[in-house]
Amino acid sequence: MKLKSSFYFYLLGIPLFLFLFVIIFLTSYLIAHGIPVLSLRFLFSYPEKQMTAGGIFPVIFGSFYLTILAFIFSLIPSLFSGIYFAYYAQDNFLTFALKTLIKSLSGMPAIVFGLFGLALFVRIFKLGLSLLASSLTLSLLTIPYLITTTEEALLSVPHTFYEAAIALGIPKWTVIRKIILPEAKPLLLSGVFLAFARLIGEVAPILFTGVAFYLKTISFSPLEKFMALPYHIYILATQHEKILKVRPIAFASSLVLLFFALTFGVGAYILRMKIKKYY
Amino acid sequence: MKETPKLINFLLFFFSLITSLIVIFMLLFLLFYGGRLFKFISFKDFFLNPVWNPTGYFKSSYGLLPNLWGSFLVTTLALLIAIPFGIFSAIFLSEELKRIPWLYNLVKGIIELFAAFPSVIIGFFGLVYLAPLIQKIFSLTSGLCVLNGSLILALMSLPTIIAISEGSLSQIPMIYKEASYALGVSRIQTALKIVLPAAKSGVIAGILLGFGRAIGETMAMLMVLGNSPIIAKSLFSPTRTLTTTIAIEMGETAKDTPHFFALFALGIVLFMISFIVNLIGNYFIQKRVKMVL
Amino acid sequence: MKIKIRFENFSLWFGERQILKNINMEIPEKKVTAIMGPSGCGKTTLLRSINRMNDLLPNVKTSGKVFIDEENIYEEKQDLLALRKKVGMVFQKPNPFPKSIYENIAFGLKIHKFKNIKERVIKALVDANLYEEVKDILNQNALTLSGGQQQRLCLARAIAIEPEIILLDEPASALDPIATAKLEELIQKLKKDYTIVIVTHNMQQAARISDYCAFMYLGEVIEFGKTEDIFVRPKDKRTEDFLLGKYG
Repeated sequence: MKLKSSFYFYLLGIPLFLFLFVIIFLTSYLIAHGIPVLSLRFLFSYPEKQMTAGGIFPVIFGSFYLTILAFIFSLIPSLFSGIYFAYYAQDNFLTFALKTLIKSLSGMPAIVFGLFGLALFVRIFKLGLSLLASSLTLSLLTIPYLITTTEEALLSVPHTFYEAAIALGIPKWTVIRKIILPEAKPLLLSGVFLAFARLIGEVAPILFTGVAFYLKTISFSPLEKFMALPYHIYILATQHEKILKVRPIAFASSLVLLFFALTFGVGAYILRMKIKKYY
Repeated sequence: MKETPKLINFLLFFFSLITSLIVIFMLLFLLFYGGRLFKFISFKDFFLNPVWNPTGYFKSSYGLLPNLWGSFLVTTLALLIAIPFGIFSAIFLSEELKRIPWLYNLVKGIIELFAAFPSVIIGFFGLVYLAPLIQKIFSLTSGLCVLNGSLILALMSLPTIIAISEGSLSQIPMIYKEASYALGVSRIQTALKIVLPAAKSGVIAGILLGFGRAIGETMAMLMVLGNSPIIAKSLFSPTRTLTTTIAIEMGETAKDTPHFFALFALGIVLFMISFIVNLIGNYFIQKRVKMVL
Repeated sequence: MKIKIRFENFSLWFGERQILKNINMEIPEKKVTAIMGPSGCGKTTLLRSINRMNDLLPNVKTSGKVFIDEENIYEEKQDLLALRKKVGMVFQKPNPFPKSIYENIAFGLKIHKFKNIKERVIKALVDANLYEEVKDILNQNALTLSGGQQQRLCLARAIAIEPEIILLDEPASALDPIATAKLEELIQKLKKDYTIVIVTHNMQQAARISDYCAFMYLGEVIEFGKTEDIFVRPKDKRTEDFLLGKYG
């Protein structure tokens, strides 16, 4: 009887191991096909001969520029909202409504953000197809996520520090600025890293707000179109004339994208582990 | 000195208000553009129309059904695979692997890492590896089909389902399990009949939220579904989803044409489905949190 | 004998539950007053009413008045920041800021715009009987100190900003007997300059260190008076039962 029960139990583990196997297989497959094309030249040079040779520097540049800009736009709204919900909002219906609306935003498909960005930033704000329009659209995507992580980070700071400071007659905003926020920094940063990891792989919101496949030069002007890694991979894989010839480049680009996404993901994880234990 | 400077007080509430209003503005814009479709066609011609052919030679047809059906079919199939896989994995993780902390953390780490994989990459894998495989096994002309999409989507949904389910299962207090073992019930029976039902809310939340994410997936579906705007009648048929149609056709559509509005109309449907599924999913997450012991 | 703190028909509710029932009490200046009673009788809530720390909790309602130096601190216009500068607090579990020992004390001084920060930090540490032990490690993180040292640091932090009243919420409950003895010794020293109110569930401690004692039961102050009087000749049966250890 005992043997049978354990047997069934380990049977339960098969789906998990199958899943893990697929993950590892997928990753190895990508690495195997992508590594041969990867090189420092690849990372730092421009594409040549209609993308069939050369590197992907402008693509990497575009992705980073886009993501950083999206962050800059989303930082203040998210931070203030997070602080509000953690320390100022009362436990009433208004707060519940606000939070529910923000939560529903966080579950929205990215492409719906794309439509909204098209309507609002490209057309009504007349920004046209541009890095600015795309990064603004992306920032809308980031905001609900950052609000949640900010709130969590702030609430993770032991309440007793807050109480001690208030009991000293220190103004609330000063306590938040000088005691709570500094303590919450590792978790706050972790949230930022995770958001970065997600953002760098997003395509749907930028599809019709400004991304392009082939631009001759990189530009620092946010009013121009731009290139981005995940979109690049998509086009190389599905719509290029010489699909098979550029496939290795698609693999290599995938590895680069994966590398960036995972680096930030792992960075976030390490930061979370660094949380000091209070006794 | 004041507790909080007036300006800061204002900004704190202001930003919270604005960010929560984003979703409402989103709906309004979608309705504004999508609604204009119905100046050109009737509601029936959208909601009940099985033909999506916006650039038709003789007459354009803007039928919701092929897209909606594609979304539902692929997502549901994906969940049919992912749910049992996910729940059993979650059970195994929280009941068994927890005893070996390093392995538990390693596995959880791998799953979390996988959750961070950009969807284009997983879609790419479906395109370059899975498609030829399916093509070969089933002797098809192309491996880009519903089956491929469902498998890829299942893969992408698993981390969410596992994470939320496992979180709930882990929270079930030891006393429930101990009482069961003390009565001589085997571990697997305990897991399936005591722990799992107790974590019901969390598991349902995981499923719903997984559904919400899956139905909103765009890039991976673009790469593996074959993109044929027809009502899929078999596992091996190519198809479109709400997301892929919008993604593919928006670039080629002139502004302020019925086609343009139709894509926004699809967006409205997508918004509504997502909104409701997320609302219900979050309700179940609250239910899970309320189970305090 | 001057009265520093006076409760006048003061009641407090958390939502629907009434925690403090019509408190009337006078706490004398520059003495140690202990508030004791069984668990859940409202002593901590009563203590926190003096510096309005209960305001931090949701759904708190009060009625009645609390006078400090004959000014009602529950008036609408009360400046809470000034109140909390005047009334210092030490919590049950030591909670120094996650900063250096020096910064812990300097922080409050800077916010309240004191001058000569360095001297004041040292004086506070001396007054809290802590200076000798930490004088060489002022830049070390406060969380590395022992429990007893952390608690004295919290006291130093509180007295640095020159309060007139010090509230102590079971300050020794997390400390070992030696640290407790050191803390009690410190309290005896401090009462020369400050009005001290201490909540304790430890009767012996109350007997050891307090000049006046209040016995609380189920949200009411049953008896109040000089410590010897309360302990030797309690007037109320409930007080007597408590002193005899009939409930904890």
